[in-house]
Amino acid sequence: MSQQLLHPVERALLLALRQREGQATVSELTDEFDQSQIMRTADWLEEKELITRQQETQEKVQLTNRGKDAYGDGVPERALLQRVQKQQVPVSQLSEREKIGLAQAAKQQLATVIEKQVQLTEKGKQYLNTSLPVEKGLRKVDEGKKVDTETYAYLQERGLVTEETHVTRTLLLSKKGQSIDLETATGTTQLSTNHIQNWEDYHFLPYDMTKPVETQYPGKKHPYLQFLRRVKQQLIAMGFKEMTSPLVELEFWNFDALFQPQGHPARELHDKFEIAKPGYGTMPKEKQSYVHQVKKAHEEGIGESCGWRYRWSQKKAKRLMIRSQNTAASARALAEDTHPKLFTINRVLRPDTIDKTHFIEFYQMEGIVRGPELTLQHLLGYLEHFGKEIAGADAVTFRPSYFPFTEPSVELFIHHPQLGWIEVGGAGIFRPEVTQAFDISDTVLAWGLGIDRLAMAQLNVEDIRSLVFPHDLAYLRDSQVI
Amino acid sequence: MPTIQIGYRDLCQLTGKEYEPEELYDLLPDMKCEIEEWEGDIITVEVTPDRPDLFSTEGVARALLASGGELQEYFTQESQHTLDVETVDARPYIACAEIQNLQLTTPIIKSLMQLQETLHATFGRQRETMAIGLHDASALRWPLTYTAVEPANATMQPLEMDETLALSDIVAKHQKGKDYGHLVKQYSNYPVIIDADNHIVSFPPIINSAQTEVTLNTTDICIDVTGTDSTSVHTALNILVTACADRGGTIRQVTCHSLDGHYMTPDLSRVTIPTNISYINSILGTHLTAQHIQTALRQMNYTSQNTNNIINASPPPYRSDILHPIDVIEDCVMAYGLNTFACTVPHIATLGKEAPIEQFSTTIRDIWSGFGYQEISTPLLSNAKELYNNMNRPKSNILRISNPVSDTYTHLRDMLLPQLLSFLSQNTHVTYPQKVYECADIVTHRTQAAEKSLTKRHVAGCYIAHQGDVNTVKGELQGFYTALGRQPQFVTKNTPYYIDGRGAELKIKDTIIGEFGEIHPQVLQRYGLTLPCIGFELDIHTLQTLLQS
Repeated sequence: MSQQLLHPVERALLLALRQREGQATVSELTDEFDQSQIMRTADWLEEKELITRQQETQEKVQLTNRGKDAYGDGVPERALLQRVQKQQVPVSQLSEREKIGLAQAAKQQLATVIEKQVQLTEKGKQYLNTSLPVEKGLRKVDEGKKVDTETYAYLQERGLVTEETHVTRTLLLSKKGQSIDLETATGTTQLSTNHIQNWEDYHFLPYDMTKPVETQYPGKKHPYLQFLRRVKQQLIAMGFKEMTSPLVELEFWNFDALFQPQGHPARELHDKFEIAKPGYGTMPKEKQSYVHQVKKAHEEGIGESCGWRYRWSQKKAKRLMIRSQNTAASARALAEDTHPKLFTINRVLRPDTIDKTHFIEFYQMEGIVRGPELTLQHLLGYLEHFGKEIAGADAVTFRPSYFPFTEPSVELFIHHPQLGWIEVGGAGIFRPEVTQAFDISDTVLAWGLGIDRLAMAQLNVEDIRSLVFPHDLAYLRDSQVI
Repeated sequence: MPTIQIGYRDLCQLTGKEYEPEELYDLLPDMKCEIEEWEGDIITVEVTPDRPDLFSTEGVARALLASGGELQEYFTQESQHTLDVETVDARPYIACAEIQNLQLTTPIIKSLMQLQETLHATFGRQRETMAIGLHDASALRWPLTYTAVEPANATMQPLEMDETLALSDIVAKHQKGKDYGHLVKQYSNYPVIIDADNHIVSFPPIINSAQTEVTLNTTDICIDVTGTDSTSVHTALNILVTACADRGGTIRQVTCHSLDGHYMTPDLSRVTIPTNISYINSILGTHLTAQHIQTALRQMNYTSQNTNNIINASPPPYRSDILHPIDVIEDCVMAYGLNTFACTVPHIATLGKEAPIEQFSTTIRDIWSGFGYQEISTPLLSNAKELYNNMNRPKSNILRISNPVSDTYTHLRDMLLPQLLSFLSQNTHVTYPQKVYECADIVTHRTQAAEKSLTKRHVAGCYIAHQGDVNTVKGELQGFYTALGRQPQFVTKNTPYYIDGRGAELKIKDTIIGEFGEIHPQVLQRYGLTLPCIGFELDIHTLQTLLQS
C-alpha cells in the first residue's frame, strides 16, 4: 500500500500529464517543474507503473557560430567577387577578408591571379548575380531543410555546419496512471493542523533520513572566554572575590602606589601606552592621605625603608595611561577592599612587536591574599596549585626575579608535557613600602600570571592572536564546547 | 631587561673553577641571571635590572664564588690625589677613583667597556642620572677640577676625532654629542673635568679627551662618575672599582673638595640593615637561627653580626637595591634557593564572589547565545578610520594613544559595532545567515571622573542574512529585555550608520540604554558586505545600574 502512496510532486506530474491528454515531452513540462525534478519523479512513477517513457533520437544539421556569421554577413568569396567584378585588383590591395575570399574563390575556380593581379574567371562572372552552392547550402540549413551529402560534407569541412543529436523524451500515462484516484493515493509530507487533527485519514510519506542537510550552528560562547570563565570559577570556589579596575588608569595606581619610582628603570620593566588627550587625570580628595604616604614612601621611605630618595612628582602620578598590569587593580584594592582574597582576570595593554607569541593586548590573572600569618611558603603553595590545577603542568619550579613592588620576588615556570618549561609570570610578597602606605600591616601575597600562556599550553594553540582574537567564523562555529 | 655577554673561559679563569655548562645552567638563574643563549665561548645572560653589580663577567664570577662560600672583600688605599668639586648645575654629583697596577688585556677591556655601556643604558638612564669616564691616569696631571665652562670658549680633542673642537661644536658634530647633547644643552655652562695642566680631560656625559685614552699599555686608570643622582653615582663607581679589583687592580681613593666639605671616593664601607630574626622567620615561615641566617647572608657577600636576635646585615658596597630589611630576606631566600621551600596553600575561609558586572555579563551572554548568536572577541584598540570614518561618525581624538605601535591600533574603542562589522567582512565566504555578538569593555570620555573616562560594559551584535530584516532583531531585543524584566521604549532616531528611518534608540525613562537599526549600505560597502545587516549595541553598564535601582 505504502508503495503506491504518491508524493505530492508525483501527484502534480500525473495531473500535468492528464491535462495534456495523457502525454507530454519533458521540455513541455519545464515551465511547471524543474528538469531534475521531472526526471526523478518520472523514475518513481515508472516504478509504480503509472507512466511509461519513450525516447526519440534525431540527428539535426545546424549552423555553427562561423556558419551563422557567414550566412549573415556573406561568405568571404562573395566579398572578393564584388571587389574585382569591374576590374582586376592587385593582391596587395586586398583586405584580410578579401584575401581569405581569394583562397576560397581560387579553389572553386572563380578567380585567378595573373602577375599579382586578381581577376574573375568565366565561372566567377557567372556567379556574380546568382548564389554560390555554399550560399544555397547555408540558406537551406538555416531554414531547417535537408542538404545533400556532398554539400553537407563541404559545409562541414569549412566549419560552417555541425550535426547534433536531439533526444526527445516523452512521458505517457499508463492505463493505471489514467485511472488512479489521485486524491486518495497521495501521501502527506509536511503536516498541517488539519493533518494532525484528522491523522487517521492521511498517509505520512517516509523521508530519506540518511540524506545530508545543511548544518545549523548553536550560538556558542567564545572558546577562550569560556576557558577564562572556568579559571574564574575555580578561583571563586577557592573563596576569591573578583576585583575590577578602569582601562584608562592613573599612573598613580599603575606605578606609584606600587613603589615604582618615577624616572627609574624599575618603572620601565615594561612599556606603557599613554593617552594623548587629556594627558592627566585628577586625584580624588578622599585619597589624598594615601597620596601623601606614597610620596613619603618614595622620597624618604616609610617604616624601616630608606625609600628611593628623589623628589616625587604628583603631576607625573596623574598621567593617564592604559592599564599595563592588573597589579593596578590590586593597588586600588589595598585602598578600598578588605576582603582577604582577591583576584581579577582582565586585559592589560603594552606596546610590543606583534607576532605569534606577542600581542599588545593580553590577559593577566592577578591575585592578592592578605593575612597576618602568611609566608613565602603560602605564596609558593598558591603558585604550585595554579600551575598544576589550571595549566595542567606536571611540575613547577621557581626562580628569583625582580619586581619593584614585591620582595622576595618569584618567577613561576611550569613544565608542560609537550612544550617543556614555560615561564608564566611573576609573584612575590608586597613590599612593606607598598602595604604600609595603605596602613596595612598584614603580609600580602601577590601574583600576576600570563593566563594566555597557560591557555596556549592547555588548549594547544600556537598563535596567541588566534587564541584570544580569532577572526574566522568557521573556526568558532566548529569549535568544541568540551 | 639588560643583557650582557660573558666569556665562558674568562669566567672559569676569574673564579678559578672549571664549571660544567649544566652547573651554570642551574646556578645562574638562581642568581637573577637567566641564560638566554650559549654559543661557543659566549654566554648571553639576561640580568634583572635591580642588580647592576651583575652586569659584568667580574660581577657574575664574584657572585658565583660567594655562593660557594668565599666572601669577597675589597680594600682601598689612600692616594694623595685630589679633585676640586665646583658647582655644576647640569650634573651636581661626582665621584672619582684611581686604579693601579692593572694588567689590561683585550678581554678585560671588552668586559669593562660592556659594564660601562650597560650601566649607562639602564642604571644611568642613558647617561642622565649617571655617566662614567675611564682615563689613562698617566696622561693627566693631578689635582683635577670638576667645573662648568662656557661651551663656545672651552676646547678639547674628543675621542674618535683628530681635531680640537669647542664643546659647542662637539655637541653639534660628534656622534656622542648628537646622542647625549640634550642632557647639557639647556645649561649655559657645560660640565668638564680639567687637570692641573688646564687640559679638559673629560666632557661628561658626552665624551672624554683623546689625551687620556685607555689602551692595552695603560696600567693606571682614573675613573670619574658624574650625574644627577648621588646614590647612582657612588654605586656605579663602587661597581666599577670592584670589577677592576677582581682583575688584579689596586683601588686608590681620591679626596674630593667641595663647598660642603671633604669626602673620599670610592667609599667601600658597608651600610648596616638591622633585621629582626623573627621578622625573617615570619616572612619565610621558617625557624631559622642566627647562624643559619648569617651563613646564608655570607653566601650573598654580606657581613653580619647578631645582637639580641637582631641581625645587623651589611650588604656589599656595590649593592644599592637594599632599601629595607625585606631585601635582606630576599637575599637569604636566594642563598637557600627558592625551590627548597615548602609549598602550602593556606586555609583562609572566605566567601568567593564574582564582580557584579561580570556576573551580569554572563547572563547577557547566555541570552544572546540562546538566540543563536556566536560570541566573538576583538581588541580594545582600534583606529579612527574604523571607529569614525567607516561609520560616518564625527571624529573624536579623546581616546587616542600617543605612542601607538601600529596604524591599526591607535584609539581605545568607544563602541563595539565597527569591529563586529570588520569581523563580518573577514567572513564573507562563510555560510549565511551569520549572527555574531561581543560582550566587552569600551571607554567613553567623562570629565568628572578621576581618569577622565569611564570603562563601560557593552554588548553588540549583528545579524546578516539574505532576508535580514529589522523586525527579527527587534523581536529578539524585546525578548532580551523581557528576560531582564524591563521593557525599553523604541524611539526612532537617525544615526549616520543606520538607514534613515530604520534606526532606533532604546530608552528606559529618559536614559538611553542602547540602539539598533539596519546598517547603511554605504557602511556595508566599506566592509565589502553585500547582504542586509542589522546591528545593535546595548549599554549593559547603565542597564545594570537601572535594574538595581
